[in-house]
Amino acid sequence: MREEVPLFYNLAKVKAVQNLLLSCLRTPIQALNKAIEQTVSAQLFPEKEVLFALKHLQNQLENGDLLSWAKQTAKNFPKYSALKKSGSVIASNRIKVVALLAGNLPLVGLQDALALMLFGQEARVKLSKKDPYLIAVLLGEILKSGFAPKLQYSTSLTDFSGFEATHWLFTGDDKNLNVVKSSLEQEAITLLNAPKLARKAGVSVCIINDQHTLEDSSFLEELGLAIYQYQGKGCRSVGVIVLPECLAFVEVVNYLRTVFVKADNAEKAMPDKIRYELAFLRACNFESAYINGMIFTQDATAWQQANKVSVIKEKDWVDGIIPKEAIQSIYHSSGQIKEGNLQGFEDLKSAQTPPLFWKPDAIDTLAWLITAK
Amino acid sequence: MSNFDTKKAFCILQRQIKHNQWFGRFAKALNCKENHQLSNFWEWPYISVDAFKKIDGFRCTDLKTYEMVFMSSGTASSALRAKHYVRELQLYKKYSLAAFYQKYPKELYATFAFLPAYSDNPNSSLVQMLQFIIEDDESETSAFLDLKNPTIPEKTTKKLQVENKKAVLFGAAFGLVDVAEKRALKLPENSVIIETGGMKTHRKEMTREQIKEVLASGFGIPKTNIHSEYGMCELLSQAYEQGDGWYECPPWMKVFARPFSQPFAEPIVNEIGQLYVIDLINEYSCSFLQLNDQGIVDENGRFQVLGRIPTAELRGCNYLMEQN
Repeated sequence: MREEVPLFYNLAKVKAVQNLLLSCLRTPIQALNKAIEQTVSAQLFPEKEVLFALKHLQNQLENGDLLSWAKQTAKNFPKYSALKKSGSVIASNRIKVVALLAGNLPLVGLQDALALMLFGQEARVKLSKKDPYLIAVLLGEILKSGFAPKLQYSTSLTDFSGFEATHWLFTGDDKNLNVVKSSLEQEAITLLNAPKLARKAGVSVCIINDQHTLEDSSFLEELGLAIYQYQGKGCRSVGVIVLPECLAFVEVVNYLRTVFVKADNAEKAMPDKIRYELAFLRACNFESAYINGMIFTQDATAWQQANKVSVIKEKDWVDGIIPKEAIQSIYHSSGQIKEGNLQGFEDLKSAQTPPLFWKPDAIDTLAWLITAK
Repeated sequence: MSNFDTKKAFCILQRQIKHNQWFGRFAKALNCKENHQLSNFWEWPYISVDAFKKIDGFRCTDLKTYEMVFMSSGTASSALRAKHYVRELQLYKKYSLAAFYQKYPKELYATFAFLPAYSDNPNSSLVQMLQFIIEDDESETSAFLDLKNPTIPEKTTKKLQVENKKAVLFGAAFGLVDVAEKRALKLPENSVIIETGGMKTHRKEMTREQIKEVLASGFGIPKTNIHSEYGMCELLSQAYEQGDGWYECPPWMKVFARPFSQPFAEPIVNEIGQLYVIDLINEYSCSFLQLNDQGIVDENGRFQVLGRIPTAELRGCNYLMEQN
């Protein structure tokens, strides 16, 4: 029997997938238009978010991100024969993977599905009921063209009963992880205690250096997008702002208010729930403010809810008040990244537009699969 | 419920607004009226129960000394655990025993406590309450069960028969489920189990109904003999449910529900909503609390608990079994 080499080694095929997806997106095929309509009419996501996510995917593919991901992986794992020798499960044909896609943002789960396609082994993809249409269309096109013969997808986990995956991919906190693990094992979707890649990071942080940063209108525009694009949802959205000692909460809030308050929202009465939350935060001695649908507060734990942004002092940040494992990315303004030695920091501009091969929880999913034991 | 003393509650409200600086600030931020209408108890301020977590020292400032700090259990660091400063343990003893004996009269029941994990929390209000109940049994039949080998000796079972008493096994749900699944403890006939909820961080989360089924079949007793207690370190009072799914409050406690996300709405009856409580025994901390539980309250003030309230959308990418 002819040995099947993982797709990421076959750059011509990867390029073909990239082009296939691009052709679906550039002039949206009928199925994709229908998926957009279904998503919006079922109120799964606002149209603005869906179109933003699709446009971003198109940009990623036009930049050649899928091909770059495959190229880089092939470079990092240069020889298939070496992988076989190293005992990597990829070569043993014993690996079977289940991916449970997150669905809190449109297309957020697509990266895992593409990683599995590049990986090329037996895989099952459980689409989120929050985002069942868009990814299904794109994966459907890939499957139709024969680029992922061992991959199947469904919105129902029971379709994968008895699959006995050796590995699985998951995004969420420990509480959900335990419930999910137990359900997967009960239905024999995974083997008992199968190794998993569980991404837990929940928030991104923006560090403000000085007054100058706040006077920079492009920086504020970027910050607004990083906070509001997905209404606070998603681990790349800014949920924590770190202030230098020289800046007071109220000063920053005033800056943000002038930029972020939109005319259409300014007139609306504050919902009772928000009025209650603000009163509670203030009772707890946390300075807090309501800006354009979100609460900005000194409470360092508030970021856990998507409608709140924690504004903390540099000293507390240095003291580790935000748990490291919760942080996805730390952003600086583009200008500062160019000027200074800010290794490990990301450009704020890319908060909602990362490359296709970005690393959730700093882990490259494809590399994890390749090196999984 | 009908015995609830609204006038006394109103006096306590005024005192707590004055002496609990955080609660006072909360009331002020909500622009609560100076002279609240006695009849409209729902117009009073109800602060989130999270105040016990977020504010260290959340209590009336006229409480200069305290005898104990009750702390919630959990794996969270102590900074994230709720702390309840208790001025007089005797007061807690008096009312927790009264609430318990109202449902399980001393002359008819002996109590056995099984509390694994709680032994790691010396500040547990549950452990303290059970200690009071067990110490209060002059016949010395009641006891804490051995955590490694929980048994009720034959001798004790006979004694119960002679005294014509039933056994009450009181414990956290996860510990009882473990024992039930192992069939590791034989209970005397007609025993009653009181579970206190809490399957968090323990294997698969189970509904209260599932817990009851496992306990009934594991201990070989009717499901109607599986009862529940509603209590937490933030409340010095407890409510009991005796097999029919409805908790009943002692006269000094009142629970009501409002529609979700409507913290100032009028109470709703026989509909699911967020639970609120007035606990008059919380006299030196705060008696007026918004809880993080959802449930139904009936026209008699009895209530069902249906889990945690649906939280506001969480940040981050999270796969939720029930939604996905």
